[in-house]
Amino acid sequence: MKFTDIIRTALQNLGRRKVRTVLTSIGVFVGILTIVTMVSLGIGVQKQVTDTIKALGLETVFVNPKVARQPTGAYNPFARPHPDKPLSPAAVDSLKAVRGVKSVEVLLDLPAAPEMTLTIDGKTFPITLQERDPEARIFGRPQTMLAGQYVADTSDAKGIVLSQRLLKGAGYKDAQLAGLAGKAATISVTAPRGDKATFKTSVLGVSNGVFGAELGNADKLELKKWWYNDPNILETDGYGAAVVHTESLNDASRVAKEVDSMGFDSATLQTFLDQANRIFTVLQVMLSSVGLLALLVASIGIVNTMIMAIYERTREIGILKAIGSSNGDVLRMFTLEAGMIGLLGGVVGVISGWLLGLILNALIPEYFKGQGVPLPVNSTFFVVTWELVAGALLFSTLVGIVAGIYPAFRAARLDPLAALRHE
Amino acid sequence: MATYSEQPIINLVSLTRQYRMGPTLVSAVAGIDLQISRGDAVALVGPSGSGKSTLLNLIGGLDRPTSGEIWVDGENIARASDRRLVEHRRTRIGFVFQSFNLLPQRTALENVELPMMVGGLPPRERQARARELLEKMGLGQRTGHKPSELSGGEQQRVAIARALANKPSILLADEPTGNLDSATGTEVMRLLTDLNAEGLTLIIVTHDMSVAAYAGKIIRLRDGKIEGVEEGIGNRESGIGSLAR
Repeated sequence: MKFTDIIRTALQNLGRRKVRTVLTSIGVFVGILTIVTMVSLGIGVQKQVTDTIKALGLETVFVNPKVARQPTGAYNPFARPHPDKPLSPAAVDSLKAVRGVKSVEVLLDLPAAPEMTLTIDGKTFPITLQERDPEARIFGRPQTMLAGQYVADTSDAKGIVLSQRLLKGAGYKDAQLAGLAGKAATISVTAPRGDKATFKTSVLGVSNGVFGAELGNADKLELKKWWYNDPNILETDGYGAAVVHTESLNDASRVAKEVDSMGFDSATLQTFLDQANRIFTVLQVMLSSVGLLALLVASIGIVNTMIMAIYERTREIGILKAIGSSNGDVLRMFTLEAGMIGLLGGVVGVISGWLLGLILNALIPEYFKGQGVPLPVNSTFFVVTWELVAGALLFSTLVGIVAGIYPAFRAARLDPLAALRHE
Repeated sequence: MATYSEQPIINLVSLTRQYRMGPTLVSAVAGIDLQISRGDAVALVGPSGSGKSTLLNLIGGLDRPTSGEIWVDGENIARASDRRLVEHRRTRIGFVFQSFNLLPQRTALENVELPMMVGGLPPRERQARARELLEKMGLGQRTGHKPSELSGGEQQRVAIARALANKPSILLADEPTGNLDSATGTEVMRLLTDLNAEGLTLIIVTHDMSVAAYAGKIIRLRDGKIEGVEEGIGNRESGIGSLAR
């Protein structure tokens, strides 16, 4: 029997039992809808993250000093972390000397939660200094400067960048913000031991950020030296982290290896990307398993429907065999019928999943806008790819076929004479 | 050495078929030796349980014997593979049943197409041949009707057209007139004997002697054995059957 004729016959048989076919395929539809929605969400978010990372440049290598872990229960927020090998200025110079390195940015850790105030033109208000870890800087939203310029990540950077929110909290009007850039400022800090000290700096700029203030590395160093009362702190403790920019993408992994061999921890955006992808895959599988459960139930429904159909059509099977159908023809015919029930559910499920994604893509940004929350990434959350469509259709058909194999096998093995006698 | 034309198309050698019915073993066919020549019209008669239908099903490849040989066209189908047996049913044999056994959801034309579809013939060719066969059966105007819209005689003629679809050399009919009144039964028997006259080997199972009379040879069965062989009567009048060769 020709394959086209088997397909046509299977379609005709399904068309004869429309209600039953549709009802049976609903289970598959629900399962595929769930899977398509979940996986498209996974793909959408993954795409956002991947695009963001790629835009930042995969040629970046993050360098962190190895820090011995404090014993559990003995955590002290005021304790100085002692790296095994500090990222001292000398170490940073050696990083710069590695072949393929274009530039190195450094980041200095701050003492935990110092109480401090800032004085500009005789006006004093409390500020919080923002920790600047390189990954947060990469994955956070880029800040827009309202006035002045942003603080650079060089070792000699001086000045302070104040956020709009902080200044508004201190009573400044929008019109006054632009005039602040370039003004002299004084930071007053109180240490836990009770000492007070003041540091002179200047306002570098005003950002639209929602967090406190950011201080240049050179100013930070002065503050830190006084806080720990240790003028050699940079040599002994080193920088908190360094960001190495390599000449090209190909250099990144090699530089990372060299950094490791120098006794530091390295991480490239590629490793972030790999880790992110791994997490997304696990997430997708977990979310999809809800759909898989629905498909499992659906496949039992298909088995039931096919067993019923074969019972009803026993005589027909006998006739087909009497006129020369092989067991294989009968097997293929019924397996394909079951596969088509699956495919029908799959097609409807994919279309609904795609439409649901479109609707949610339109609704979610509206909702966030209504809540006044800026979106962390641009608004496409659900992405249905052709691979997903093909995979979902293939999978739904496969579920049907697998569910149909056992009933079809029973049909194929029917004794023709017994089948012909069946009423 | 016999020439091809003299070789019997069907040769049964010490054929038996036993069924297990609960604890007892029933011999539906209990040692039959029989030769049927190409173009013969043979009637198998006997009381119910005499094994005539079982014998027909064995020849048609719907059933397997317990022992013995079934030579058809030089092939022992008693020992043939499943695949060969399917081939045998499809290409050599046409079946006509008492209860017609048409597919109720399909039209007359589609029913006749079915064996050709199974045989892998393209749609255009098989439709043309199905139409041709139905016209030959006098059903040219009824091709689009479903079995439920046809009379018993018409249904049986559709079934005969279907049996002929793959140009078989042997037509097996199991009580072909059993569900028909005598007038349409006679009509169907005329059709079958006409086909026999065209060279088709015909084997009819019946308990109706007036039907058996159409055959050139009447084989009486009892308890799975051949009780006797007689010449038919009707075939001489119409000049068909074994004498027509």
